Amino acid sequence: MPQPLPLPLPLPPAPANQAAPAARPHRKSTRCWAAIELPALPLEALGERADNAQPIAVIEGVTPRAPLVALSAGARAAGLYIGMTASAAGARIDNLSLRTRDLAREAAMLDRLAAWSQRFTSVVSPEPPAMLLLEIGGSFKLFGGIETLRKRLKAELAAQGLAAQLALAPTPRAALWLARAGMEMGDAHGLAGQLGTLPLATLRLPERTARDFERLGVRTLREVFRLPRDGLARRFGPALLRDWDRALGQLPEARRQWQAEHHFAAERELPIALHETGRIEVFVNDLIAELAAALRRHDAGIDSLTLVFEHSRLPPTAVRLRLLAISRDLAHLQRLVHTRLERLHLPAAAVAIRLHSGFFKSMIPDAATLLETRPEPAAERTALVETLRARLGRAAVCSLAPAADPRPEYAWQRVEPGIQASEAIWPRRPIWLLQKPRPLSERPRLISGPERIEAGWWSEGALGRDYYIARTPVGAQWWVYREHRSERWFLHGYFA
Amino acid sequence: MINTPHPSSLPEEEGIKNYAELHALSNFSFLRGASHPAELVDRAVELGYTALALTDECSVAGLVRAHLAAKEKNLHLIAGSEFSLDDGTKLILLAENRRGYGLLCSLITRARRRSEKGRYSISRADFEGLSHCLALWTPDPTRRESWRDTAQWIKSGFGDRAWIAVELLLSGEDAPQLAQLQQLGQSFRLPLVASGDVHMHVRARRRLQDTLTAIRLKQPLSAVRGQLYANGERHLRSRARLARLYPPALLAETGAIAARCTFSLDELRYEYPEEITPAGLTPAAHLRALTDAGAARRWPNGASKSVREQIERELALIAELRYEPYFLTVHDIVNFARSRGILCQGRGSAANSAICYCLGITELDPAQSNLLFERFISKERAEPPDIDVDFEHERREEVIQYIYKKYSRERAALAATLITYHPKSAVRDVGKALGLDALQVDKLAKALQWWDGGIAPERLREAGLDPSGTTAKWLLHLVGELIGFPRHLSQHVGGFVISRGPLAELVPVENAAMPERTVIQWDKDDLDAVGLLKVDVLALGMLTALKKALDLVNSIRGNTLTLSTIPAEDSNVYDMLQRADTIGLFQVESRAQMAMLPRLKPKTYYDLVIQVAIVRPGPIQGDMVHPFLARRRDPSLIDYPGPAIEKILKRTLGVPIFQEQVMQIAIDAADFTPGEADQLRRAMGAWKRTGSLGPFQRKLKEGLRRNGYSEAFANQLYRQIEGFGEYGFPESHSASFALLAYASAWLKYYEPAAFTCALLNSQPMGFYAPAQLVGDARRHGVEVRPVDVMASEWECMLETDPETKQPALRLGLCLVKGLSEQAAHRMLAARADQLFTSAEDLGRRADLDRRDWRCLVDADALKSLSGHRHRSAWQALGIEPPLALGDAPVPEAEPLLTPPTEGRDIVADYASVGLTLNRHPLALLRKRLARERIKTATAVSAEPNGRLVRVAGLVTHRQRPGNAQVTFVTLEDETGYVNIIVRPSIAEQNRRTFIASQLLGVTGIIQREGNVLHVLAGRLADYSALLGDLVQRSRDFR
Repeated sequence: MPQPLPLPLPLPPAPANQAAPAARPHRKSTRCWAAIELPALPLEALGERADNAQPIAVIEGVTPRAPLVALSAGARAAGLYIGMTASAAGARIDNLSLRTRDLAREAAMLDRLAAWSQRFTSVVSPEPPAMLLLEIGGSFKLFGGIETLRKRLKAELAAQGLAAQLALAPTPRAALWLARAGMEMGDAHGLAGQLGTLPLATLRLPERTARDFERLGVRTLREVFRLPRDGLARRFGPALLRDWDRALGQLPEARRQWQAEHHFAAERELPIALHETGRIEVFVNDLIAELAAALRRHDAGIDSLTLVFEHSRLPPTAVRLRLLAISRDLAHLQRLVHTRLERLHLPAAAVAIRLHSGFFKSMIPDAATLLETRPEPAAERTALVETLRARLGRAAVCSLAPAADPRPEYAWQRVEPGIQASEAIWPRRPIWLLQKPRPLSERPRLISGPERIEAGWWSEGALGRDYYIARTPVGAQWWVYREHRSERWFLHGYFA
Repeated sequence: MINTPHPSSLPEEEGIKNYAELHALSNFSFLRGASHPAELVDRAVELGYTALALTDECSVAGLVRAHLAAKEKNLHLIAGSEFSLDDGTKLILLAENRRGYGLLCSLITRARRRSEKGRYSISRADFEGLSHCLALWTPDPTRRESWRDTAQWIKSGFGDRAWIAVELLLSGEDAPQLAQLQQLGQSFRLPLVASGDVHMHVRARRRLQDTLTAIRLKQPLSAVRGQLYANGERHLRSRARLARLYPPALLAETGAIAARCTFSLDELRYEYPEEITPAGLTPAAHLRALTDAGAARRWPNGASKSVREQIERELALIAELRYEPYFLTVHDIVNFARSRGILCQGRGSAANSAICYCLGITELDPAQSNLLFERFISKERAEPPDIDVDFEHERREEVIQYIYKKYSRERAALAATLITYHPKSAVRDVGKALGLDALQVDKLAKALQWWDGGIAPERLREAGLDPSGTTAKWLLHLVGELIGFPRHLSQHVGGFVISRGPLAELVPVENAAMPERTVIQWDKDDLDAVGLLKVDVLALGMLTALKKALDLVNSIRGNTLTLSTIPAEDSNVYDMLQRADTIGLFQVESRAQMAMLPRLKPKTYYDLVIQVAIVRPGPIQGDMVHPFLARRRDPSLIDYPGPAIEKILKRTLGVPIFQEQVMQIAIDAADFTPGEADQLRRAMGAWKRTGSLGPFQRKLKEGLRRNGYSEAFANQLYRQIEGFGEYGFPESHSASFALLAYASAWLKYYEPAAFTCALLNSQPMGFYAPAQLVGDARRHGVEVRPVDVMASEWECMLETDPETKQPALRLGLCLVKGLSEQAAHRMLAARADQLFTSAEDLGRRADLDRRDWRCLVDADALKSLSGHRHRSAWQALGIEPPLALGDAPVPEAEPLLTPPTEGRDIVADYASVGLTLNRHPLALLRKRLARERIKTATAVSAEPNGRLVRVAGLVTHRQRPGNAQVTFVTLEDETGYVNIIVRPSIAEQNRRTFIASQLLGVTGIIQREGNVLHVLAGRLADYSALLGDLVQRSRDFR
């Protein structure tokens, strides 16, 4: 059995002592962990506040049997609870708003919080899905003492609109457990006793293990760890005891430290103020070369980059470039920037340039594209599209594809360039379709038809028409129809 | 030539004279066709078509319905079917004659039998040698490259029995398509004919047809836009319109083809299998020999004169109608069951004959209950005899396999059951097609669960739909149309069709969902309509239970009791029935039956026959119950409108209760022929669906008036007929059921332990769960012992005290939720070697896995080995699978574990075994409930009529019989049951409480009628939270 470590936890001074915080010396070696639990993260990640009085619930999946994973205050007040099924919840209240869980947004939000928390300490360790651990022992002095720091953490979390439970304890595990149980402060001297009162659910055991403890009639950590250690290990594995020892500080716990995602940022002062982008490009290319080198080092690529031109008087000019596909190819990136710079007119001479990239992305293409052997022309087309977009703007370039709908107005769609849509087989269709059909004063001379189209009754665009091809006196071919309801004739398109 | 068809109003000009639609799908092409067969027929008649071919995809399932409708409307109906070949070719086959029809059915059978349920696969080779069928080919315009090859094949395969079907559906390419097909036809000398690819009878069904497509593709309409038909032309079009679309020759050709197809379903002749008669004997001689032998066994001292006369009468009638093979077939099956010790009993009109008693098909002694044979088989009615045979449900499969073996799969198959859309499934499917999300659809479907008759606007709003919006409008409209549509064919519960030749030449046979099961494409109504005979081999749980109970009784008492030797007419048994002490009994255990028993007070077997039949929506709606009870109390009220009626209704005190009586009145008092009476019976079963009782009503009332019966009597009788419509119960069934009801009552009274044990071992069955059955047995003084690894067998069993000889009921391991049967049997085998000395020992010798251990712990089955639940859990979880023989158990410290509280034990018992032998949960909550002035069931039963009381109990049943307005709720507490009546207004006000409460509190007024007590609910309260205290104390940290 290892010797219990002394645990000099800087406890919050009792109110009576509050006048003399300086009387308590802080040793540099003091370890203190803050755990932040975000019980409503699934809700908050979707942009909702946990204290919303409207009943809102987040469900995992979209089936009626999907369990609720997070609730607004209003939903709780209406008697909903975590784990009940969506259909049961729906039966209980009528105006429940159900949202589908978005794990990616939760992860991003936790990541953002990790970045934010770096202002308090350099040692940040997320505990997904919804917890964060901060080693703050070294930061007390900087922030004016433990209580001040604790208050500041709480205040800043609240300012972000987050419902958070914060707990401090000498070990990370104890802090996690206390935060989950909604207790704020670990008691260094009676830590074992304090943890003992926590309910078993604090351990977040797998359902089956929890059921087994239920079978034993055991409900608190004290009751669990009062059981014979060897017997407990045999039945539930050694991990449980290891966690208990770690919580008490009797075993060290190594935690992975959080690091921000990589991106590239660099700047260069220009030797003289330059107005012409053509002359600035040389320096830009230098930066791009650095970026490309960094990407190679990280075996990564990027899908966006921003170029900023600093002016001496005016606010800087920023140019953002988005790539269609992740790339780290120096020539490609330089060509792209070149195209964009060609039509860029700076409002004033630039004195410095900055380049920063989007987050580095893994270059390994996903499995689906791995199997596809992309022919060379596709890469060329991608480059062309990127070039066009660099010139004309993103929205100006897209592809058209036929859509599977009998209604001419809905028979095509805009798609991302390069996407192949399935072919729909319709009879002869004109190349030029009028945006809005034009009424005709009389029945034109019909040469073929009719093609009867009756569709879309389930949507806004219900229609019923008989289409014909008509010939005008001057020999042009029109696509005309007679509308069923009004029996009026309309011109809808021209054949070339 | 350009024509501009007018979509809305067609000029009523005279079209072509002759048009026959040769390509029409009904809704029996599941999720494709959007009209019922009869709708197609009716519309074809309206439009003046010469003929209509019903050509459902690889199916003739809708043919009988179409046939009946066509016969009524005098339309020439052609039997056909559409096929999509594996190479993409689409072909329509039409039967020219009976032979062609047989070949068509065989072809469908081949295509379907090689595929899983609901699918088929067919290729060119299958059509070889298919004579007597005409082929229509609809070339696919998107696959022109294959046309020449296919044309070649069709011409060579069908010769002058092949056509190219031209379907001009305003695609915009009609003219070029026609030209191309004409060219194709010329090059291959294939004539052209017009057809319409009909999917619906009128254009207005287009939306439903689109919806069906979306349902079939399992995606919302918006996602399948491209797969929907671009327009609604696939309906039966007027001849005038067709005349403007098609060249006259193509239209005329339809008539020529129709004229070649002369087959009608009326030509089908059913032939009995041959092997039921020994070589050298005629069926008649064989039946007589068997009957005589049976009579000698039934009446060792010789049958009475009247019985002998009856047998002769019956034999003569059977001979005249040549029904001997049918009786012999049923006898053969019953005989097989007897030889295997499988309990069975027949019922139905023909079953209650003296012959069936002699043949051992029923136990209904004609000497004792002569009254019943008013209706047997009548020769005027060409109605096939009707015998249903119930078998022990656990052993019916043996009987089915026997039938397959004896007649082979080519000659025996189950009838189909047509699964149709009901409101809930229609709402689900239409909702999904309209793009509602799963939760909205779920809400709507739930809203329909208890409250029928449309969807209330507030339910729509709850599901996030604007009741006046487009989606809601379409939803209601389409659901209304879809209800009643066939969805798929399932297997009938046990109706076998057995034929002499290959069955597939009568009707196609396809695979059922169950492996090794085959079903024909027609259901029982279809079979009736075309005169095919079926034998109903049904499963009845109560027979299983009775068999097991008799075996148990015989083993502990050393008797040889059988169903037929159970002492009849025992007054103790009838006393018990009169007290409504009927939990677990056959037929008379339901809420409504229990309410009726103390009023009807059955004293004899025939009272029980009435009791079984009277608590049905038919008699209740027809207002027969109260007059009957009144006359029973006061015989002076009995009167008859005339002597003819008296003869018929005497046994039911002047009140018609049985279907047979209504038919007999129609014959004797309203001048119906027996054939018409039989039509009336069929119409009674279908009038809700078809509403076609009208002509009978007139005829009945006129007939009664003519014979001097009062208007009031006529009206009453008609109302009763309407009531019977849905739920009329024939006396012939009631008579057989009453026998079983009596047998179950006798066993419950004299052998409650054995009876309960048998019921538990036959679960799931009946109205009551094991908890109620065991609770009831204990209230009747049966000692019930818990599940115990040291004593229990797999099934429940009796442990007889060697001194008192009183049996106690030991619960079996089968009640333990989740425990695998193999593990249990390993354990029992190990225990048979030597009793277990510890949990460790049990684990070592029975090789249980963790899951089994957990199940045993949860059931508290280790108590006698390891102590209370917590301790046995500790031990069980510590047992590791033996690594090598002779592993010494690891010595370890015993922890201190507190025993579970009673509340937690009770909750755990319910969760695992489904019942507790501890106190009732309400006993633990009684103090708390008493504070709320809530009374026990016993206390309430002593309260006077009209008193306001509060009760609370576990909800054991919510029942809404038939179309009764009120819901019956049964509450159980530690002292017994209270029956609650909840009116719709109260249920609606407290909807959530009413539907969701496990522990329901009711404030209401006592309604007492004799010994029957109900509480009429005024206010409902959900006390489940209290119960939750018991539950949550064990789950408070989840």
